[in-house]
Amino acid sequence: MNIVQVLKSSRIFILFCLSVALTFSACGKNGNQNNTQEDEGMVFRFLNEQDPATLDVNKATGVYENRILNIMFEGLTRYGNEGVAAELGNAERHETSEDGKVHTFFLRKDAKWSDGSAVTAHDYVASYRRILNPTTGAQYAQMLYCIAGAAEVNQSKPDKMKLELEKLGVKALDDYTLEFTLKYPVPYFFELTTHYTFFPIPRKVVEKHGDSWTSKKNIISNGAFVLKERVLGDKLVFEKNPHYWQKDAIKLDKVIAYTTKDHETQYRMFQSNAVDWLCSPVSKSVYPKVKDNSEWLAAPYLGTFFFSFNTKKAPFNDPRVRRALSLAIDREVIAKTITDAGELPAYSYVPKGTAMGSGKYTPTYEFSKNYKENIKEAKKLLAEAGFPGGKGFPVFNILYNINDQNKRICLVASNMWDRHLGIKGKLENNEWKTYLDKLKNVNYDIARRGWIGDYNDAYTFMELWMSSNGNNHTHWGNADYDDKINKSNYESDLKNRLVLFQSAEEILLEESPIIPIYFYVADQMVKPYVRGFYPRIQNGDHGKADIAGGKFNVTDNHPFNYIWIDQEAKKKYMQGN
Amino acid sequence: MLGYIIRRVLGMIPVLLIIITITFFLMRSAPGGPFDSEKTIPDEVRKNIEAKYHLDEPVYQQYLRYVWSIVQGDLGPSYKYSDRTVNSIIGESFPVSFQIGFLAMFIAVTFGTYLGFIAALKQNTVIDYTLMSFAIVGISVPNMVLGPILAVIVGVYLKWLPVAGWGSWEHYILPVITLSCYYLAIVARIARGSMLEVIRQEYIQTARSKGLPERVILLRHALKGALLPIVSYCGPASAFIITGSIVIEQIFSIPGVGRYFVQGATDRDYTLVMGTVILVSILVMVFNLLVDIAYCFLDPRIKLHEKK
Repeated sequence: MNIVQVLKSSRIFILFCLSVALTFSACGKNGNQNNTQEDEGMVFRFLNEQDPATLDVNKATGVYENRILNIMFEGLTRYGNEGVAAELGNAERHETSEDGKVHTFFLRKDAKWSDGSAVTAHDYVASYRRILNPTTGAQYAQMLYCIAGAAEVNQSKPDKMKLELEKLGVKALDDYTLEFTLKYPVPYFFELTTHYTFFPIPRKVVEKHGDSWTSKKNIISNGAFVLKERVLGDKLVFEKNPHYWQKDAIKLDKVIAYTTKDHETQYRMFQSNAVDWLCSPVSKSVYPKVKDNSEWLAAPYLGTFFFSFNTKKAPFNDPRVRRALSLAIDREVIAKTITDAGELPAYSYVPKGTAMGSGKYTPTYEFSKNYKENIKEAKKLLAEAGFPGGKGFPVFNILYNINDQNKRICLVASNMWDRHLGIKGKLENNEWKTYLDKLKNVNYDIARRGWIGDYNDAYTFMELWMSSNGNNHTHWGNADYDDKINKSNYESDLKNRLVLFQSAEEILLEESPIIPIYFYVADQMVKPYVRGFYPRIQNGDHGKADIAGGKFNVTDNHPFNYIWIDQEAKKKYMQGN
Repeated sequence: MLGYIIRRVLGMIPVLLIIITITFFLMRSAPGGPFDSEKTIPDEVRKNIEAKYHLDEPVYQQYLRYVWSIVQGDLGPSYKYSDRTVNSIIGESFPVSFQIGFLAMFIAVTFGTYLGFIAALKQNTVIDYTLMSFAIVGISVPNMVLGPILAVIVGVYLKWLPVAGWGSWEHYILPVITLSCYYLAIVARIARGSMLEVIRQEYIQTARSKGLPERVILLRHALKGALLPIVSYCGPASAFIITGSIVIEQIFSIPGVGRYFVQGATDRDYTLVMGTVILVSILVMVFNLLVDIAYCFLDPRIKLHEKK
């Protein structure tokens, strides 16, 4: 056997392989995109985690869309650089009527779409008419329901819609004056207009192209950046909008949003300096490595993790049982040993730091932090309800969606209930949509859930437990509670409003249709050369700071208008790495 | 030959229809729908959306509507990516998967065959043992382990190549290597086995006894026969490899079509799932056809028109 001959004859074949490989490599469209940023000016690269499902401000729904839309569009108001308070954006002035029901916004005359045309009040009206139009099928149309006549338009039959539209409480008084008439005085309306459902649409482009106005060749926007490239599953590239009214204040020339989903890959991209900001939580497997890293930071977030009960089903129809189960959970243990990113144990329901006008929400009622006492009381309550030592208590299901951390929290909770109350829970794992389906139909005993505020006002948390709320999913309802929350809508005095919420929260915790476990944190990783990012990291006062106190970016909004890159610092950083 | 191909292509239609039907009804029977999210939408709004996508019609009517639109070449709108159609999603992502998959398969087949043959010709020597040990490693180390290891070493520590992403030739290297390893190892093992079998055949011995040079025996006589099992393995394997690997796409963040198999199903994006299923089905059938045609060239005993 002559192996040399075989090898010789295959030489041609190897050459062929190489040539094919080279031909294919030439298919790579754009050539090398790494390390060319210096030629492109100041570039900010971040991981958006997912593709925005749509760029249509009238149809968007989630947090990934929120981040992207805020790069491209600007509403009447926007979040300031610290991400907490709303400030004027596209509007230069705002007036409220005495009864709080009429809000007038005066638009900037220098605000332009990226094609150079003016942003007018008609663009806003067109946007609201479109989002409320039943045929648009907008999932977030209810964000506008506080506007007079909005719900009626959204729920009208096609033949009646025109009639209803005439009654809609949004009017363009002239090209630059927009007037809202609300159903009731909404004290957080100014904050609410930061939401993308209140953004304008380029009326003429939408009229011309219909639903495909968001395609790359059609889309124009009025924010600091415009879309340049959109590769599904890879990235979105934005460039500075030359017509933006505040263009001189924008330091970034280009923003790249990668849509990498896998958390481990995200971390590798961050490690290899392919991105400057990793905006979603790092995977728990790499967490121990980054915890002490100065690039990792965590700040309180507007969200609560909790368990909810099916309050129609015995024995959870008894408030004493629900309260007993709530008291038997050691929240400290869960927050410290399982989530461990600085989450605060939730002894009440509304997250600390949630805004109430210019102030902050503070609870008047909290569960005791003395766990031993809590257990004693829990045992007593359970005995009173007819289950001394857990005797006769049926085995119940604990519903959760596939996620390692959720599973561990449910395991620990069921262990605490078993150990201290002698009752047994069975874990029930479901994929996301099945889990949602069971939740929606209240087809569970106890379910793991979470709620992230839509806007920075306690109302977004409080309204959830009204008996009419579509997201309640517990069968729980309390006339007193409903009444207080309804009243709060008509209460313009901040102090009275706070008292209404506080007393409603007391009812909620007393009746315990839910077990608050912890308040979320938003954790992320940011390169040290990124500036204008809040919490600011260049001063070293980030991450491991005491996140329980102080002023924090609870909405986790990081306006790109204010972010920039310190090129000198970046150069040094790159050399050091 | 042409008649055979036409007959086979026509035969694909009922198979495809059965696959479409089963998938369509299976998808609809899963709990939850495309517009369920953590924040429930009011019933009225849900009705509006369902009416927009004809989801308010009876299921059989939706089915007929869907089949009719497929006949016209329209895979429908994506429910999740509301400003995209399934046609555009697959049209954008399939070429990416195809490039990665084709390169990986090409490397796997060429190098795998080559190494397998060498192992066979050097049977029971150190070369054979070394090659086959590597093959075992290649088969046993899953993508999801190999990929991150390569990414960390080559991308994070050595900084030679990007760890993830898409856009330049550098982005091809790690995913293609990771994806091809497993297939290369399998092909090498098949090649070794089939070559060992072929070189013991009588016709090879006849060739040897005629005094033909070893090179001619191997390339002209043995190679053809030894390729048969590899071809039959590669047909279906190619169909799957070029429709994208979910794992590889996740690890290297590649905008391929593979991710939509799982994501489409978890999102209950009915039309997207249907689109990807149709794509894979067609490819599997086409590749099987190609295998059969290749057989006819490699093995003179097989004639396509003789239907047994």
